[in-house]
Amino acid sequence: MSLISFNVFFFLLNLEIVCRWQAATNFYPHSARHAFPCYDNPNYRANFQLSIVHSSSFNSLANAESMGRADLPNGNIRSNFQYTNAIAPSSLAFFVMSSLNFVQQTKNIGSTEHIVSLRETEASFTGKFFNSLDVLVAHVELMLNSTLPSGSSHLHHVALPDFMDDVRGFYKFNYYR
Amino acid sequence: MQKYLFLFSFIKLLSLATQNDVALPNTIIPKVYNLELTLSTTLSSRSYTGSLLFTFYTLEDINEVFLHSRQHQVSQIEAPILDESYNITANTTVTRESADIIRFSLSSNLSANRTYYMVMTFSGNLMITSDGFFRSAYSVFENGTERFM
Repeated sequence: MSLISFNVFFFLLNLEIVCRWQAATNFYPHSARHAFPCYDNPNYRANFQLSIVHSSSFNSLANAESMGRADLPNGNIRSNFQYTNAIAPSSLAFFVMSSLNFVQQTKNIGSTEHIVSLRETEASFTGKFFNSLDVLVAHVELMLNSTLPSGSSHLHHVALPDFMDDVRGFYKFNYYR
Repeated sequence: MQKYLFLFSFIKLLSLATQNDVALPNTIIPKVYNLELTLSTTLSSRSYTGSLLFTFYTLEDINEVFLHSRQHQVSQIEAPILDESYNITANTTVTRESADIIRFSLSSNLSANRTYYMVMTFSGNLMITSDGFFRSAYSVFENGTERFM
């Protein structure tokens, strides 16, 4: 018992609390104007093509499909994203942080969904949520005998910033089919 | 007491009405935003810079363009406007109209029913509240190479 206590004490002694920064967005309903000059009105939809330059130790995500990363001469990285559908500025979402867990799943309809979470349990929960949503949409389409309006064959991009106490309070996602 | 309540409600309504949706003139339609944001290396600094190629369609002849913008500087004093052939058709002078709006005064008129491109650079600071483009912190416990969330 004393050996375990000693080990635990030694372990805790070597733990270092490190503060890390992340940058995230919450544009709804009129806060895109904080980030960049724009027509910040939901009625004025436009296509967005986003690039984010950040340190190579960071990752970035957006609710647009990634076009990959390009190394820059100063050691930074430019993360490029494809054009979005015509969306309101407040629907654009992205964030940059140093550690991410990616969970990638291939869906039956052929599109790919990317779910990102800091914790695997949340990623799993989110995957189940989207799967349920897709089943529901498929049933509605079957009942109506038509296809619901869809923006594109797209992705589910989910960003869950690591707010330890209230993750769901910052549960931002955009859902495209 | 009722008088103070009424006064408080009036001030609250006034602040809500003024802080959010300030309508822009219905003279252009935004088409595409090509946006590049550059963040500081470790995010230890809240400052960031950006460049924007803004594509828009004119609904009428105009000699000024308004955009929403809050708490950042359009560092480029003159933002050129290009036509569909990417020739510079006008230069602009940027002034801040209000806390939420910047005005680009054009050196020459833009014709109606045409597509134009506006190029600008700007700088700003990440917000400290969880609104807009913001920075927040999280803590990890590190023991050598292991990390615990």
